[in-house]
Amino acid sequence: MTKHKSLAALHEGLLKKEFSSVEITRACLDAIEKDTLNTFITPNENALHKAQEADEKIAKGEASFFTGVPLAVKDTLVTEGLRTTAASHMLDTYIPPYTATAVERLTDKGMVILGKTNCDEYAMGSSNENSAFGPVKNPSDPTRVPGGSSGGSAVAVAAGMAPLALGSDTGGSVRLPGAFCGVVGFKPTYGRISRYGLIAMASSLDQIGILTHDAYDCAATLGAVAGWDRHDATSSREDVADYVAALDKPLPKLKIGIPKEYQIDEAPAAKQLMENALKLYKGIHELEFVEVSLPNLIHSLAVYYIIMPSEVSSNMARYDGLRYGNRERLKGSLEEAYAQNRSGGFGEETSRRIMLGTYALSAGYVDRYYAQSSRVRTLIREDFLSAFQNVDMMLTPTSPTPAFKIGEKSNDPLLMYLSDMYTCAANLAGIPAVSYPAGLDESGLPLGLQLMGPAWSEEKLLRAVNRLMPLHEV
Amino acid sequence: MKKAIALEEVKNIAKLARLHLSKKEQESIAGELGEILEYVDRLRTVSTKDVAQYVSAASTIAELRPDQPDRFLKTNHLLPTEYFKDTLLVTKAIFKENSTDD
Repeated sequence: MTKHKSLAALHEGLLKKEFSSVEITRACLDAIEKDTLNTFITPNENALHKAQEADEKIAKGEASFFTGVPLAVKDTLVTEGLRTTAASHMLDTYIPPYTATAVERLTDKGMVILGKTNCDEYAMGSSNENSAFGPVKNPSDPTRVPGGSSGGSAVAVAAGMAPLALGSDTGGSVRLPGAFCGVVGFKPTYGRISRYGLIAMASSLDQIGILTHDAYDCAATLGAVAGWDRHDATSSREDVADYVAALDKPLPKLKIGIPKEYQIDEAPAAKQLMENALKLYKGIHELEFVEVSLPNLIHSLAVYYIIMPSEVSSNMARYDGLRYGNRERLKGSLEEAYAQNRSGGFGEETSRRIMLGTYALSAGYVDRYYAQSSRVRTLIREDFLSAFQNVDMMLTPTSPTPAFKIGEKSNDPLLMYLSDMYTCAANLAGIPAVSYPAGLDESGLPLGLQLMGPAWSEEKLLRAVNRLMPLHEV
Repeated sequence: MKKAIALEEVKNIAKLARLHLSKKEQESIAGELGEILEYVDRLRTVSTKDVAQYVSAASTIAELRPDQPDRFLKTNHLLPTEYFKDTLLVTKAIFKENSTDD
């Protein structure tokens, strides 16, 4: 019933009584119950009750655009009274006492939470194989990964279990699953959406993101969740535009940069995808494509894999079984108890990143690794600022490959980390970026292209997606 | 740099990170960390003389709220309702009635 219906179509159907919120919520919950892709960790038992409340509001003529529409929420976003695990054994019984601002802004408008979607543990991963609740599978080919870390949220939308989903993006965790599953994955400017209630992974990089079928749904959702929040000191007071209205305006002339550092022979599928896209876009008179150079872009991945685990090691320190998280049977000294609790609760990848971050921050290595990475991060940001003096946005592949096989990279962390090579730079620079579906490869697997813009260019990015994405639809 | 980092170093880092790793896990992580660090070591070739460390992409950092008292209303998250009167926690009186500060 909700399968691939836009938010506007659902809203109109609800107002015209073509279906009720209870009916569409029940249809989604049925799909979740029959799901074989391991998409959700915790369905919301209260969903039908909330849908009933939404129907009453609609009947009274008090409906907002979102009232009665179902929503999937990544399990790294806390939800009052609804178990939130971050896909970790560390938190597998955690019932939060409050709700994340981004989620609350949607439920306050009458959206119905269907449940909490599966993801990589604490959002650490590119494939969604690191969940304590098992891997999520790709709806296009269940032997393949859906991308991570917001894999469950992307699958929920792609497979028609939810019309939209919230995720989080620290180095590409919304865009990569968006590309692998054939949906729009949007990461806004740092500070555009409050991080209050997002279980922290790497605080200078984390942003809440949106997964939808198209630019319109993304624009409507962004308009609803964006804006300053007193609970997040890094949220911005920058005005929230009317992103939906902007999509109806004619596309302005846009100069789009193609970073030369991303045109590499080692990623032939991505290179081919870019060549095909540029051919396809050639006739669009509003668009001009030019090559740009960001000399430090090639260092993004190396910088990311020092800054991110360093912040991870700090953020994960609180999970010791006494302040937060899993508590094993206490034996030995307090230090031993901490170690038992942490090792019993964290999975392999989380432990690996804590170790890497602890190493990079340790007294003997902090200058060589963390401080140097932080300086190169400044250079990467300056490269973007300089490039955006000449172009409105940049076009790149989202991923070096389409969705890969489950298990293909899980024994080679470095190879897995390369999945983030095109996406992590936007997080390092704090700029907005969006992955949009760009057709299928010869095996029928979804492909994704990424647009990155300067800070606060969300409106322009979504207008470009709205123009370009339909060209790839067969 | 060698691919694997020393096992002794892995043990020290695990202690700092408050993680208990088995011998097998220590050996595995020594190789993985070594490989990742070898990749990351390319950053040493970047000239960063006079470049400041990155601070934040946020336009404001730690903006403080107005210094106004704000009553916490979700008392049900703390203790059952019988412990509260008008959202205030009821405790045993420590001042006598009509007592004054000296």
